[in-house]
Amino acid sequence: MDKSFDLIVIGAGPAGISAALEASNAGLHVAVVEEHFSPGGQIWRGADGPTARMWRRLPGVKAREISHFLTRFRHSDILFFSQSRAWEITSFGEVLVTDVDGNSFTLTSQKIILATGAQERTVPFRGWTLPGVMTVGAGQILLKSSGVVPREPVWLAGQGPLIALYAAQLLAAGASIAGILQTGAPVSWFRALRAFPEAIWQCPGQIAKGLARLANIRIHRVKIFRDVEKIEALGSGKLEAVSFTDRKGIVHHVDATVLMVHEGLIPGVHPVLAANGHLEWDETELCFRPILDEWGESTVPGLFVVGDAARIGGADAALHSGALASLRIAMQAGHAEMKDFSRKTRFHRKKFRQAMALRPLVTALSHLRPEQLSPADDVVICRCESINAGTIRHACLTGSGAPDQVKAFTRTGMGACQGRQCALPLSVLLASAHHRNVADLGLFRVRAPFKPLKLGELASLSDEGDIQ
Amino acid sequence: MIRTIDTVIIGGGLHGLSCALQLARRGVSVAILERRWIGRHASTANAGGVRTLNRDLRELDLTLTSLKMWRVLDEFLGENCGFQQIGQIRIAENPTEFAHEARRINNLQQAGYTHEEMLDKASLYRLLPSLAPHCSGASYAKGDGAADPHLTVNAYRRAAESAGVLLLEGHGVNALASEGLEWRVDTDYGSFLTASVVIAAGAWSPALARLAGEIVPASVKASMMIVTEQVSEFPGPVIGCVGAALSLKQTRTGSLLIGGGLQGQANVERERTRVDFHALATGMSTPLRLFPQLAGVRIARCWTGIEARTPDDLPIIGPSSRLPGILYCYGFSGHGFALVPVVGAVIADMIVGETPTHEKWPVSALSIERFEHRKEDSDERYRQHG
Repeated sequence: MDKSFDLIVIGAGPAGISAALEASNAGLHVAVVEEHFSPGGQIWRGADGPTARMWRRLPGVKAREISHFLTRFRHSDILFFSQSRAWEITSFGEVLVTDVDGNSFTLTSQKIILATGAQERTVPFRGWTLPGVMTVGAGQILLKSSGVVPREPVWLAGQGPLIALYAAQLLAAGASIAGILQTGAPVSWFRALRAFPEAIWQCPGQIAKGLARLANIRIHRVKIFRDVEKIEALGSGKLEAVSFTDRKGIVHHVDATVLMVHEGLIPGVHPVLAANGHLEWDETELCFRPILDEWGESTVPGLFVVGDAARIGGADAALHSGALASLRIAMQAGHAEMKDFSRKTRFHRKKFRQAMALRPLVTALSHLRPEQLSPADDVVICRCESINAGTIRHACLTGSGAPDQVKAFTRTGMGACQGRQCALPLSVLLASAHHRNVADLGLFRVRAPFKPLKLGELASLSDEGDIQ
Repeated sequence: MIRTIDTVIIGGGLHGLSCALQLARRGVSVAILERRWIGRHASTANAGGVRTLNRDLRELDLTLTSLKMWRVLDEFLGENCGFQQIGQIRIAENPTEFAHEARRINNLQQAGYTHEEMLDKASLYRLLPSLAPHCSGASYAKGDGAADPHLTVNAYRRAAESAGVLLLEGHGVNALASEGLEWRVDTDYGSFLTASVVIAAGAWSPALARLAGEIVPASVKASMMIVTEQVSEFPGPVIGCVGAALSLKQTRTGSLLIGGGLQGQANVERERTRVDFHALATGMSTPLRLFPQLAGVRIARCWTGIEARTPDDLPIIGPSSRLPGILYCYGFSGHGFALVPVVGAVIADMIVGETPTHEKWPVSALSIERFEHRKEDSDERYRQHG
């Protein structure tokens, strides 16, 4: 089998599917590598699995549009490596991949698109590592892929549109919500009002749906606590109670078996870092994102980043950013007709801008409180190695103030998750200890492989020649 | 601003720290100039092996002395370095390899060394019951062991600081100039006037020697390491084998650490490295042949260190023969961790000069002069042919 391509796309969510379709249309030889069985990514997860019928009825699911894309994808001549993990991108345009049977192989291409999606922002609080505390994202995947909802009433905590969406989905699936704890800073109405006209003009449907979701939550008489502070998950061995302070300063202590938290999405920068791409700090979103040109090409020539991995914008924005990157790649390869290229580029740029118009409103309505970034000394920051904030703060006092040095001092980020969750919290703590900007400090370096890999799977890479 | 200090050590790795600590405890004022931060490169990227097993004879006596120092190092530094005397073993997978090892051990014992012994098949499998059944035996140094590089760096760092060593991180050296009997060392944050300069900067040592005006030999070694998820108990010594590059052991946190000298890619100037997974995959056949049950163990991360390698794979320890006041301490070629405690003492004695060094320490074979002869030989040949 020939394993060299014009384009390799990593990730088959909306951004990856759209990029692959656009490139394939232009006549490029395209491979898509996806960890899961079927295409769709986290957002379209379950679209054609065993729970498809339930899934189609969930709020927020655009079933017709999604099946349109998935059908086109399935009938294209794109080579789809499903249930396959890409775990290394070399500087020679090689992508190292392991399939579901544990066989590793090399795909090569001069153009690679990372469509690897977002991750949930980690905001450590006391007790966040107790069994029974999970992220809303994880809960939503469970619901979409296998129709599972918690039997006990769910406490939701955090901020951002995903909380309202998941609450609506939980109610639709028949689960009960014990209460919603809104954690963010008090809303800056000035910023919200400034962002509102553009958002309502470009995305009226989205805003209407959001309001309908909030109304639905209200109809179900779900208890909502605003401007909540000092959330703690309590229990010995597992979650038993949640305590928090409400806006009037009253301390609540409630029984709980399930607490789902969500403090917004940030671009998953692990793969682009692993490929030596550079990041920049996004002061509005309070996260790092890859440095990209207007087409999505990173600081590594030939490596593009699209969708939520580039900038949080949701599925609609992802579809268009994926298409734009592929248009550029087709153009560079001489596979695009100029007239067609300009028309499509204009179309996708316009649609991308429209989809992104909602984002300033979202960030104005959900904003972290400064103290959320500065947890108490006994709060665990790195759950893999059980390192708490105090240990990290202490280590920050010695040495030259580099995230990699604090990592070496404390073992933070050396565990199984490879620092995906604790890299940003560590840099934030270090920045405040040294009175410096997180932007200047950056994150500690990423070690290869950027996805899990077993020793036997690695060894099988050397058998590659024999199989071909 | 120019500061005057007895000794400047360039390079804040373990060897620089060890030299500085030994000097400071002898009453010498010392500054360490480190371009990045303490323990940035090979000092924390290595496997932490303390091995006398299969050492080159030219550095064996020094290593045996170092091993004695490792056993009491926690007391010496006042802090735990994670040293454990778990032994090191070198497995022979077939009768030919076994015969080779037996001959080597026999020669060692003839020369009066008793730190290594031969294990026959039965004793090998008593020691490593989970080893694949095809092996013939092993050589074994039960006094050897391993320590934790991060703990060791931190312990040395704090011991050096409390002994009064000036640790200057972020101080890259821009110039080294001879001023009469002294050396002037320039950094971005000021200059130092000193009688002696120790160059202990690993792979960057040749560049510093060039600043002082000497061309010294060294290429780069970029050994790759794998650390796995935590696994259930994997008892036994640090495992190597005769026929291939391997070092395998369980760390104190329960992960497996797999190395042995498989080479990745390194860019010394940019201080960047890259794991070569194709080479690593080929190298994985050895541990998986010895322990097939490890195939399902997950890798946590892989990395590549950067350090200096000399033409004969032995370190360069001692004064420059051309530049009075310059001392070298680099080129450990992948096995310098075990030598850390002793080499600091050697260099300190060389600088303080209480006893003639070559009488006290077996380091004459490690002097830089060994390469100069070679160079003169080649110059000679060049003249003849030219």
